[in-house]
This record gives sequence, C-alpha cells and structure tokens, in this order.
Amino acid sequence: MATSRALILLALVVGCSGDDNVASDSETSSADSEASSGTDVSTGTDGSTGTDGSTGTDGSTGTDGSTGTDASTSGSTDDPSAGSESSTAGSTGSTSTDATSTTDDGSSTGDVDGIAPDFGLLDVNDNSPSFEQEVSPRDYLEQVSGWYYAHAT
Amino acid sequence: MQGELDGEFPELPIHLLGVNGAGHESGVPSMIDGRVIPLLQDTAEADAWSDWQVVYRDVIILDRDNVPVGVFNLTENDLSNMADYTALKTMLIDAASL
Repeated sequence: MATSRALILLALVVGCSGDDNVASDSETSSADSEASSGTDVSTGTDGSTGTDGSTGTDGSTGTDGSTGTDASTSGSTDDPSAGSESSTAGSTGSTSTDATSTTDDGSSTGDVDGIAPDFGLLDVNDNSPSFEQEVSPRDYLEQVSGWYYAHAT
Repeated sequence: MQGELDGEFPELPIHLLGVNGAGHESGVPSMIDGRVIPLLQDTAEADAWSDWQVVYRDVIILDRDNVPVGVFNLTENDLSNMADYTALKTMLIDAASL
C-alpha cells in the first residue's frame, strides 16, 4: 500500500514536471506565434511597406506581445524614413504637417494669422499730420496702406 | 506718390508710411526732408522689422483687413523708372479697388 502510494506520488511528481516542460514549450511556441502574429499585426497596421516586415524582426527579437507593440511603434517610426508613409506615418507626420500648414497658412493666406503683426510706433516726421503720435497698422483698417521699411544709410 | 494718389483717386483710401529701422534715428532728418507721410521710428522693443519679416526697402501693402497683399522692394525696383513706379502705384490702387 505504501509502495503504491509512493509510486503514485512519484508518478504525480514526474507528471507535473513533465507538464512544466510542456507548458514552457507551449509558451515558447505561443510566444513564437505571438511574435509572428505581432509581425502580422504590425505589418497589417503599418500596412504599407515591406520594411515593416524587417522591422517585425525586431518584434521577434522581443518575442513578446508587448514587444510586438513596440515593433509596430518602431515600425511606424521607420515608416517615414522608408518614404512610403501612408496612413500610420501620415498620422504621425500629421502633427508636423499640420504645424507646417499652420505656418504656411499664417504666412500666406491665414484668415487670422495673415493679419500683419501690430505695433505702436512714434511718428517722427514733423511734417506729418500724426507727428509725435503713436501709429499702428490697425489705425488703417478699412483702408489700404503701404509700409516702406527703410533707413538712412 | 501719396499726393498723386490723393489727387487722382480721392475716393480710394490709400496711405503710405515709412518705418525707420531701429538704431538709425540719426538718419531721420534726411528721410523726412520734403516728405509729409508719417515716418515711424522702430525700436528694439517693438522690432517691427523682425515681426513683419521685411527686407530693407520693402514696401508692404496691406489691404483693408490689414492683411499683406503685396511686397514691392525698392532696391530691386527703381521708382525713378516709370515702369516700376507705375507698378507700385497699380498695386496700391488694385488693393484699394477690391
């Protein structure tokens, strides 16, 4: 009886240790599958370039799902340099693009930013009707004005 | 040109002004000699030259909304040349006619 109990316990111990090995194997394989699926996801997300596939190699280096996320992140970082930045790169690049377009808008046609910067400068021409008065461009709203920037050389 | 515009197009509100560069106050007498348009003295604090991102001798034309609609540089264009003179005058009239 004691011998059979010992055998059962031994079998259980052996069985458990065997399961551990199997579990680690399955984790490894699942990690591998995660890595590969991570690659797929990043490719799917980035969707645009084969370069992302090589970036997926970074994901397999991590072999973690979270690293897969990292891979897609680094993939999106790589995308702009790949040149074929479409949607993902566009969303990343949109910040700078927006900034640029804002600047462009401001300097070219901007509805609000296009207005000339304001100032208040003293008129120093004693022949002028506004001599010794502070003059601002806003004084000439509803009128056309020409501002000659010069100085005596 | 201001007198000419006032005389020929009294219905158009066009005003010319000068902005003297900061630090060049000593040149004011020569700049106002014989002229009646306002000459504004820029200062380091206001720094209108930088704010407006102008180049020396730029004429910046603002429309009725204070929006720049034209730049005419008097180094690149010589007002003693009738074609250049007319070009600037036309730019001002066009801006006022909109």
